[in-house]
Amino acid sequence: MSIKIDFKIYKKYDSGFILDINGIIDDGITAVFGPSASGKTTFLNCIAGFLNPDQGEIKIGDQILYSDDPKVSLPIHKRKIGYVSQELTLFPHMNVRDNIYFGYNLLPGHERKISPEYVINFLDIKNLLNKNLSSLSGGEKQKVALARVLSISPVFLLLDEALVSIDKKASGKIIENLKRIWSEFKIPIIYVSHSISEVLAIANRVLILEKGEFQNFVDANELLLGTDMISSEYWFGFENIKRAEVVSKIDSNKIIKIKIEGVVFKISEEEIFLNEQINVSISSNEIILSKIKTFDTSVQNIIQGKIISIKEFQNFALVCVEAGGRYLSRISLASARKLDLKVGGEIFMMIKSNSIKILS
Amino acid sequence: MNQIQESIYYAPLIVSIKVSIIATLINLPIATILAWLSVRRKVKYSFLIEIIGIIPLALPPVTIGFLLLVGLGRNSLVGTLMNQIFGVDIIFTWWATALAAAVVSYPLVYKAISVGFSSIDFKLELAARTLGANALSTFLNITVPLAYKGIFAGIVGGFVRALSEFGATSVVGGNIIGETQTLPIAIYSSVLSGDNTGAVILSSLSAILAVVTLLIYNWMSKKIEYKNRF
Repeated sequence: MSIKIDFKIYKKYDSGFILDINGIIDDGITAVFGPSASGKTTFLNCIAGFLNPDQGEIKIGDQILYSDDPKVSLPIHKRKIGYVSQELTLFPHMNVRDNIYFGYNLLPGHERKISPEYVINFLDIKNLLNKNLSSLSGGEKQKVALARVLSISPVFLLLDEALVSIDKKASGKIIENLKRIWSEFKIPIIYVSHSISEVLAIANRVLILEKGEFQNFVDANELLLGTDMISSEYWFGFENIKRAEVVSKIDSNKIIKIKIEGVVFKISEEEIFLNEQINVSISSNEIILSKIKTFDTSVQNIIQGKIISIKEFQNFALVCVEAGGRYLSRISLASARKLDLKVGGEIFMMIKSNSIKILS
Repeated sequence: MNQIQESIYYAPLIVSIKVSIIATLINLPIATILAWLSVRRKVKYSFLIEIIGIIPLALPPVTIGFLLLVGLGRNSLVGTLMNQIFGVDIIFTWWATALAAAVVSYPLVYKAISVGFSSIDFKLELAARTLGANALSTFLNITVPLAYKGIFAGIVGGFVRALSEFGATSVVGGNIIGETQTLPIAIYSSVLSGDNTGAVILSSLSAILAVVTLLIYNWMSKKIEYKNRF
């Protein structure tokens, strides 16, 4: 049986800001996307129990976490919600092992459904157990934080900007881990972020929050089409983050072929191996669009696709191209008009081999 | 040095150590709980806790001794109850000396522990709560270990202050050799009676005790620091 969070939250701050939202979040990975001060963290804090709404009700399955009538507020330590903040909040006076076992040791026997040993093997952090936190990298700390919350057998995972403190290269591994966590443990995940690239790389569904209200509840894939739901500044520097498989060994030209959603790309990378599963990132700024296939070019990847949406902003256009998967290309308004792009039209994406960055 | 002379010097030393240990043990739980309520829980009347925590510093120790004398004397409510229930008078006993030393040294213990508590990121405590720790478990496993530097500094600061206390302890404890006569009171007595040699020996003992305490503090600080690093 799938578990869901059913919530109705009204919270007013002295500053005049009001969070007034309701909805249901169920299985899978749901992203809560919104600009700063849109109420994302307040929403998470109400669910975790750090804050109480002024009015409303929050339920996980049949368990009431908060209700204003009758007055119920389940203490934080009884909610069993795995919360990972952007600071990670690992206990600095404990080593990795003690951090991971902290919550598990407090659990009554019958509630111990996930063993720390299993999680440690799952996240491949056995070699870190006796280490002090100060000797860990950002990505390793992130894994320890995930292991710690998974070890309490949580009913829900809340991740607040969990990739903010991680370098770009390590973030791919974390994205992969979150997806693996969902498929392995079937724990629903709420992922809060103000990065649209992260949201689309991680989530199945997206809740768009703006000025304390939910603007929409959309399928992550649809977000690429309905770009008017998100203002233009969030699309600057958008990264197309994709899962890929290495399908060739490195050749004499130092090129390796990878396959993304059935389409082969060439990349310049030496430290990956045949059949390896990797995450890659392609900046929307580095996808050049052409209506004709050009052979006399230094670009290694010329991928045929179909335009499925065009969104014009004040000074640029976002073109969504279907080529196995969906890719966003950010081009100037002048280019969009010069090419006379049409939805449904055929297009070639031109991507340099070194514009495809490996994240993990 | 004959045995009588030795006891004149060692008795105040033992009384001083005993009084300071008890004063610190009285202060430690009170200061910890009040600092936690004020700094971590930010209870409604935190400002009162802060005032109580600082006021003994602002009062002359003799005044504190006099107030304790009035508050605990045989004619006071507390004194009467103690006398009727336990049949004892607390004034001019070893306990009264320890209590006076505790009151005078309390601000140092309270302030150091408050600083220790306020240096902790509250998100760590919230993280512990989300992991299933109740308030007590969070306090014992997260708050106290993370505030150890402040707590440790409070213990040492309070102990050293209690060792050097004279004004309040002499008013409520008097000058009974082997009972309430601490090192500072013994030094004062020696000076008054013209026993300069005794005053020098007792002063030296007092200085050695303070230095040894601070050396132990430094050694233990480094030991805890080392343990936390690995």
